[in-house]
Amino acid sequence: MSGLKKLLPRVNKICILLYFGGIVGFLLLSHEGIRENCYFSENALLPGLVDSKFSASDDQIHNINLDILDPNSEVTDELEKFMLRGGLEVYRQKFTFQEKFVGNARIQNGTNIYGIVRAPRSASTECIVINIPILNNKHNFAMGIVLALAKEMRKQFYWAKDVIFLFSEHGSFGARAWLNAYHGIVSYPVSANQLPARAGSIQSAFTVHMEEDAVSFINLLVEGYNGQLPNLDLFNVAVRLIKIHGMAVSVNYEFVPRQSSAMDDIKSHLGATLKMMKKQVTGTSSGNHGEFIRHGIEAITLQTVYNPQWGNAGFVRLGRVIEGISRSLNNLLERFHQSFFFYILPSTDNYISIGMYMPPLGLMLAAAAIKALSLILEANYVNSEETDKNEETKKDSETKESVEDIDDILKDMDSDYANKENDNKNSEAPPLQQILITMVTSHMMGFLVFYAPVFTETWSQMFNCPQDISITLLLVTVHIAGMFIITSYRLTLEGGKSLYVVSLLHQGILFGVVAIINFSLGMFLAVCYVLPTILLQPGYMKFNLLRKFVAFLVSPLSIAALICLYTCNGNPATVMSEFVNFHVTVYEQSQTQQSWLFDFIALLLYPLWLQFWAITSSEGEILT
Amino acid sequence: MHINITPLAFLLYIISTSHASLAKNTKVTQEVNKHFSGSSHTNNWAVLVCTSRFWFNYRHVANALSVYRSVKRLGIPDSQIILMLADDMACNPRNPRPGKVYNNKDQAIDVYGSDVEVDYRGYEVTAENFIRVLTGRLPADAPRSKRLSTDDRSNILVYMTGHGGEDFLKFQDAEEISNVELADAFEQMWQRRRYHELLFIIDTCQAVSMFKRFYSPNIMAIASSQVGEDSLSHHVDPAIGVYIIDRYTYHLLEFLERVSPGSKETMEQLFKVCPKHQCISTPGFSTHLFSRPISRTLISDFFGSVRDVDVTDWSFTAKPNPEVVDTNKRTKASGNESANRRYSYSQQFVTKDSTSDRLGTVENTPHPLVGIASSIFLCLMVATMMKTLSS
Repeated sequence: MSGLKKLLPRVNKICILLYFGGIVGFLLLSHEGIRENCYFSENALLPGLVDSKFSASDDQIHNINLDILDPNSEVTDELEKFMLRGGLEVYRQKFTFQEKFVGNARIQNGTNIYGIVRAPRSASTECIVINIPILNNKHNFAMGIVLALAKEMRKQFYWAKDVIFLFSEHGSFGARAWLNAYHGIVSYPVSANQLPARAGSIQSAFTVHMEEDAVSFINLLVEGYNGQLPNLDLFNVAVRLIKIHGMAVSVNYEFVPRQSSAMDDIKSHLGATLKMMKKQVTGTSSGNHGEFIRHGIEAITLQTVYNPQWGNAGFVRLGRVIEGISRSLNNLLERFHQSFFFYILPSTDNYISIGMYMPPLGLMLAAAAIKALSLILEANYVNSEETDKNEETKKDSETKESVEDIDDILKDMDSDYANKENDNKNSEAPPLQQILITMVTSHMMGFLVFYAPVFTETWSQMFNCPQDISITLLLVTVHIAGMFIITSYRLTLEGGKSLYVVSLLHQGILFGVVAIINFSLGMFLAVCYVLPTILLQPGYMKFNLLRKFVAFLVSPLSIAALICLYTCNGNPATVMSEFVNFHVTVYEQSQTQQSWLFDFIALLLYPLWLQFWAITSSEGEILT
Repeated sequence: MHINITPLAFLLYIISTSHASLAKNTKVTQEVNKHFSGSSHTNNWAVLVCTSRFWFNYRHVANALSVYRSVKRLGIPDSQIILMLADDMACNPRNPRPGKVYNNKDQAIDVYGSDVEVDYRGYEVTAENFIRVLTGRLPADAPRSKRLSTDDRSNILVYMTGHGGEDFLKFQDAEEISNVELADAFEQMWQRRRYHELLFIIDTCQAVSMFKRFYSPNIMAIASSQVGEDSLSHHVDPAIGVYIIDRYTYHLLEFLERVSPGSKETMEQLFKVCPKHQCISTPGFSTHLFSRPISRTLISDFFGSVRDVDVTDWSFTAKPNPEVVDTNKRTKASGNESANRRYSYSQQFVTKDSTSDRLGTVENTPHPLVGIASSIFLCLMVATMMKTLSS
């Protein structure tokens, strides 16, 4: 026990060491010796073993695309015509959705059209979906390829699953409308009609996104909503097939070849890792495949990129890649379950699994936990010292015969009335009560922030400003109001310390749980919060202003401001609009795409931060 | 004294006769040896098992079907082949060649064909059914095509392929059979006189572990890989999109294609099939339980059904045997008679008594040197006698 006692004064150093150790450990994961190579876990896939039978020519595909681009006819009509000609079953679905919640919130219409190639020799119990989104102001040139492919697929008899070619409008809304109707689910703000026909349980899906009529390389998009990712085997299949057909493949637009110098190698891999994490933090998907992953269907998006300097690989090669992926998925006997669901990709050939990236985060959260533990131990030691001291003074008073001051007598008797310094009306409240009151208040403020955007319109009418500025103002106002409300209840030193311990543990648990679901968000929060909160220990009044500044720096408001500053590179005019944009986007995404970032910040992160803010305003000095 | 010609002539005569008897002894030896290492089986059976299902295990079905084809070509009839295939590759919806199974990417031979007879198919291929087939413990209503109706004069070829590991073979992704169970099954077969000789071939990963626990006599075993090694597939057929055959079986088939129904290839040559530089894994063999030397054991003892045909030009008239009991006219007296007849097993073990029963007084043949020594001694005796007589 005495060893622990010796460590207690150094606890801050230990925590800072753990924090930086966690960060360094995470950065080292991209090192050549530690990161692992991607491999196939599902034996049934047999990727790339079979020869491609795609025989349409570049010209034919080009002509199909020109037909679809014909301004005199609707895209959906043309698609229907081609699919019927190819012998597919063609169906339509109408749906409505609301895209904007702040500003002109109107209901929009859309139509999905899909064609089914039925498996010739097996029952229609399973299917795979190839999703080609109909882009709003551009043309998705993959339509030509896929229509030619569909016609050929219809002639073959080695398809064991049905293949659905889904042409969805309006981005993820169309995909969501179709999937919801397919599975019998309703989710606001998309409402869709029932589907005329189905094809069995969807085993896997992929989206093809081709904005130009030429392709240099294929970029793979994997991130789904709220940190979900497709099975790593699906990613491996896509990478393998693309490489077999001689095209270059990137993930997050990063080509990360192995480099000779270790420093360059780790820098490039780390850059790719951080890029992927940056995309995952906001909890939105980078393509339609996120909607599929939401339903437990492993999906990925293939996005083509054209760079005139790099040349054109041609439609036919891309068609072979699509066919190859479909044939590999055709070989599947079960849904993807063998490979990883939680990973980070430093490159197309490497991965970092959850078993590798959780320990560094654990180290950082351990710093907070150890700090809390040290405070508990300290409190225990101080208590035992105080009781010893009181016993001593009692003995002294018994032996003393001189008349003493009333105050001294009262002090010896350990009466409350003797404590004139803490002339606080809350001095009677035990620490538990203070904690409870503070936490309840902070969570109520969280609810206020959560419901605040409902008043956007009334606010904008009151202050005569556009709705996006009004929502930002609203959120900022409620944020600051919460700060003042919580500090109106003054905490004693005891209460402050107890709340500090509770808040540290609360923080550790919260970030740990978030990291399991969305690791990037959990890691980002841990990096931002753990170090400052370790330094916020109550009882050091002379650093109070500094502590308040540090606490304010990690408030959700200032983190948002700092992010906007960083993205705008300090240009003041754009920073303001970026700030407004940031708030609007976060709120809208929570409504339209059901990403829980806004809900999390309002209901969980902001109350936690308010607790720390309350601690900085607690009074009392630790007598050293 | 003059040289006496007569003893020399006599000596020469003795030597020449002993040489003749020496030659006669070698011929006898050859005859004798043929009886020892020539097989005395009367019928051939084959049990060919493919234990894995799913499309990506196409090569295991192709393995089993290829051996089936070879064995049929070399003479074993379908009624004496038990073919167990765990999955239907020919009619798999993923098969671009419906109804056909190939074992080579040149797709020259359709090993499935129109006359294949699969006795155990799909989910019927279980470890329990396999052991029941071997030991004969099938329910009374099992059809004849699903029974291994062997006797003590049957040579059986057991070929197994699939996914295996150390000391086990996986059946159908859900269960396994261990090498101890297999050894015990073969012992049951021996005790119930269900085989004369048995050749066990296994083409899986770590195959040697499957035969190292055998303890019944007259079993020879060949495995495609040692413990700790994987048996690898041979090549991919890009038109079908699967690995189409395993290495050991591919080379086994190449060897068997050179074997015709009456050939004299021996097991020694079979053991040389697929050495390490071709197979990547090292095949393993077990011959310590086998009584005959492998250099004299023919391939056709197991892979074919050699039926000797003797064409005679003499005829005979069949006479009714008065001792034979006419079952239609079974009377009480004759019934008792048949009940009192004692049955006994025929001799399986090559023991001293049995060989003396069947093969004549083999051990009474004198050693050739004894003949030479005795004749030299005899002529010396005669020479000294004659010398004493003359002197």
